[in-house]
Amino acid sequence: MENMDSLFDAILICILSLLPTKVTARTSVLSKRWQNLWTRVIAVEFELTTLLYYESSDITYIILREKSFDSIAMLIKSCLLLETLKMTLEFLCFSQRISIVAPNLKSLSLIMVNIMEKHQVIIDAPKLIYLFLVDRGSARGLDADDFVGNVSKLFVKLSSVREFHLESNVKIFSYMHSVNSLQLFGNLSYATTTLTRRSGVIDFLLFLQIAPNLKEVSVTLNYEECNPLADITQSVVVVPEFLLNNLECVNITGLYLGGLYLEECNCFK
Amino acid sequence: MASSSSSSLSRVVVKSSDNNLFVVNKKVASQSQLLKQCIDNMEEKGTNDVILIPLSNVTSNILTLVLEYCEKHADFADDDNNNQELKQWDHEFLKKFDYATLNSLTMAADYMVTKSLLNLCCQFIADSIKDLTVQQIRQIFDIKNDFTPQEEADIKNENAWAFR
Repeated sequence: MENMDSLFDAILICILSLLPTKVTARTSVLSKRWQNLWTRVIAVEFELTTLLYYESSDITYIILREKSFDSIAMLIKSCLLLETLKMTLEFLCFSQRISIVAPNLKSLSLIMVNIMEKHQVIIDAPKLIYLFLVDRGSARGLDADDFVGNVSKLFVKLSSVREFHLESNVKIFSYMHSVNSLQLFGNLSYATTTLTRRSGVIDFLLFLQIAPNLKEVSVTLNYEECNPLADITQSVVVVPEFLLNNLECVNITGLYLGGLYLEECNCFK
Repeated sequence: MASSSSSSLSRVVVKSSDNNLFVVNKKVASQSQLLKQCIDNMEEKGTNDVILIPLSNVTSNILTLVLEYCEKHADFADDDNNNQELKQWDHEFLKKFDYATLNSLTMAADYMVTKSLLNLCCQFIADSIKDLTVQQIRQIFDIKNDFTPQEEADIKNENAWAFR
């Protein structure tokens, strides 16, 4: 009779893929053969001890309140075939960094809680198609230069991204523009964002310049201040002409002055 | 005397690794893609003889089990896949075996390309592993620990989040 070690890797991986990731990770100590088997499972699901947000999902969901993200960064790096990753990062210490290096990652949802100046998130995922970024509960009004500098590395090798969602009250957009690679989002065709700051509109329009193939834009304006009309009329000038050719649909939802926004939208179309 | 009407085989003979012969009707054999491929190839050639398919990797007791599975599933082949009765039967079928047999059955299902049986075995094994400790998995599935205690501790440490 055969023991389990006589099964082919492919079968063992198939068995592992039917298990919660936490269980598969434990199999790494079974024997040398098993040590890295579990990292070859394509879709992983994390069962969590500190549950902050829960979404039923058959794909990866990590919630982290760790003091150090090193172990998790290493974990992601060792999952060479990982295609879908959802995670919530809650930054507790003052200076933390995490790098997400995933050569086959296609979809990334990242919710960042309490991100501050000294925090660094680095995404290196050349095959990424779908990127969903939410920055929840950041220090209000934070736009210090060193923050922008730190977030800088967030955006490398994202040229294959086709869908992008960003919710942030940090001036990430203005940074993205200044990163000077015109084609950074060369393949982006669908973008949604929520703007919570007045200057966000200009930043966003600048952002549009580095996404020349954008087809659909959805913007939700969520100001606490009033009439940002001045901003928007000023910024229409900024919209580059080549963008108009490709843009097919613009959706703007504003808390105030909905009518006026729509009027401006006509300029886009 | 190969005419087109008689070139369709109704039965095949399958030989196990310990040289026992099993006569299998075509519908049952077709549950295994490996056997089906052999049958299709022979039919294309227009052969009339009963064909013998040797399976050098499968012992008779395991082959008996695979064929039992195939026979049951051939009966339900025209029904939809979600037949409750069949699912119940599948579960009862696997429950009877010890893990060594289950491993052999999994290998045979893979070798004979009987996808549904392979999936069934994988799911069954996964379900049994789920609530076991590392030591229990090693014991039940007879996996030899070739780490030094230090190496094992290092790996445990590396994936500490999984052991909490």
